[in-house]
Amino acid sequence: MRQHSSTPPRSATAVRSRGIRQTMSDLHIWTGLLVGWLLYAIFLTGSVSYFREEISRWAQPEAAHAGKAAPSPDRPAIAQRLVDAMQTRHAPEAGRWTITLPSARDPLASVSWQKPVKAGERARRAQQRATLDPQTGDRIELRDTRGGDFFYRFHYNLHYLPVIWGRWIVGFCTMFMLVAIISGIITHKKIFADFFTFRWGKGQRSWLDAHNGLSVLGLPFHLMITYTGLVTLMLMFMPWGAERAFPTPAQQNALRAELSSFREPSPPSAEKAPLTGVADLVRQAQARWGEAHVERLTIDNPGHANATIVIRRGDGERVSESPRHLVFDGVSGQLLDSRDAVGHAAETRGVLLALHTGRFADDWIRWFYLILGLAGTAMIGSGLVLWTVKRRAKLPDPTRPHFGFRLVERLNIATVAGLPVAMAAFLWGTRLLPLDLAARAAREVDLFFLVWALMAAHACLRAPRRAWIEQWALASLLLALTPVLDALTSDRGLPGSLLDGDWVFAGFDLVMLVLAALTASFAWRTARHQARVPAARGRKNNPKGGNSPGESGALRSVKAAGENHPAREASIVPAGEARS
Amino acid sequence: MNPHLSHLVGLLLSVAGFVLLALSMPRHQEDVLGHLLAARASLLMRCSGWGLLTAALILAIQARGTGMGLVSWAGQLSMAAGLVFVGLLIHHRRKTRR
Repeated sequence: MRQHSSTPPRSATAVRSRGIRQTMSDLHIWTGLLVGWLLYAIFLTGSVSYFREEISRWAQPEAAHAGKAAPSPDRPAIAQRLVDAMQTRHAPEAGRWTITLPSARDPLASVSWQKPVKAGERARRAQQRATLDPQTGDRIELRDTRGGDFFYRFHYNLHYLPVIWGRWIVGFCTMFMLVAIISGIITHKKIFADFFTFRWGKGQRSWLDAHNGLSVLGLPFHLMITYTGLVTLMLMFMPWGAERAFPTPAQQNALRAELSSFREPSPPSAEKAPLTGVADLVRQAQARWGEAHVERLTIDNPGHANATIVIRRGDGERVSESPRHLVFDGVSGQLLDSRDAVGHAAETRGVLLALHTGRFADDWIRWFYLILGLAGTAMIGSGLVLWTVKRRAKLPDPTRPHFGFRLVERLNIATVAGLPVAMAAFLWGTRLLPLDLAARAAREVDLFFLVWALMAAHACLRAPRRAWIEQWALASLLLALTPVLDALTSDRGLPGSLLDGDWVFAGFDLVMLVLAALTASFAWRTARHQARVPAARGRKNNPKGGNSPGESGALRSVKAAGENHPAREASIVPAGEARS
Repeated sequence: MNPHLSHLVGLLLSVAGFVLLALSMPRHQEDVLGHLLAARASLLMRCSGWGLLTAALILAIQARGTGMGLVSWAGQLSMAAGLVFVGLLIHHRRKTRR
């Protein structure tokens, strides 16, 4: 445009920039709407997954007593005890043992084992798992539950779908999330001027400010988590570079070895030989990485002459997930190989993965992750609600909205309020389903989806504002009663775990109470706006809009203020946002 | 430095930094102080605000190393910005109710 010398350059820029803002605004609105509901679910379940271990522990209160005994700091002795227990009691015939040592977040050891592989046969992944007491090596019988793992897996695999489909769908949504973030940044022209701005009680303006505030304050996190989310599955989404660069199976194995500590199991040798002691090997690893960072032992072909022991460093306090491990000869105990570094590309990927999973985090950073994740969830939720708030004012007849509007409105309720209800129901399921139920863990997940489907049906059958209030109230009720449930279904409740200083259980119950208060405030605000209607009708010139999560206030004030309201609503929307 | 202490100090520095940055903006000067500040005072606040955020960064890297330090700082910064945002919101609500 600049080559037209007759046009003053300033106005040309203005015209062009309004054009690009409008285009980006449309892109932001429609990509956001297309994937918003799934993204909301991905963000919410992903956020709580930062406390996956803690959720799992809460779901298995029978193991709580093990948390009381402070785990002995003598990790080499624990490792040896667990290996002895595997050898003599749990899996003497197995071809591979994987032993995860207890940690600060999980005081129990988890082990798995698989059958020996035969020569020329592909390794079967069928594994048996057990939880062991690190002090005795005894097996601890725990209920069959998915616990926090369900939310974690759901956030990138979804459910009831082949895993590969789920990942493609999640990847598609994530890509559009990135599009929505970048188009949103371009649309929102006053990022710095409006950095701390929130205009309360101004209807659509308030919703926009809330959406902007949540987006801008968490922007570094939102960009990071979305981009790194794509990177976690990049070899699935875009395999061609790696396939082309590393065409042979041997090269592909080398690539995999750069990316993870996983090694294909090999067949056992015919010759038998006793396994070396592992305590000393663990001490060598501790000397290298620090006392607490030895995470896992993988022992192949124990009792055979070709036994190997791989000791893997955990991800704690290291912002990279590139592999760090030591490989020992399982008979002589000699160090065969050590991986202390990988190439720059693999290290970059390791850092990006670590930023996403946050496994390096201390308690503070884990809470930062959770809060920012929830802020991202709220950003998506407010964006979805904003779509309806904005359009309701322009409906030809607000009492009879068109089908598309009603669809979005119902889906918003079923997702934004319905998912928290279903997640709370899942937690209740972990405690309440009979312990001897067949396929109990799968039934927990069925319960989650059943409740979610009920919320969707409820959202379709009830008037929208009633549905918002009722679902938030139900979520709040379930969350508020969770500590009661905890007390009734374990041998101690919140007071007991507080007295024991068990902050996993006490903290879980307290967080449930905080979330109950939050969801109750959503229900209350939605309900209160309804009650305010007569007042709004009286003050025709100063209509109070809604800023409730249920946005019914906006609807009511539109109705109350009559015909001229849409114009006034439009006038407070900045140029970049107005859709004339 | 103890990790808890380094997070706490980093968070406090960032909150103070963002408070100064907010107060360097005319809108929040009117809201919080009731009047506009002189241009020099605003500039001083803006510079010291950025200075405090930088100090938080240096502290985090000193205490935790580059990787953990950068991540800690990014988290502290986001939390602090959110706290100041909510703080201004509460302040504004209280003022308008009176």
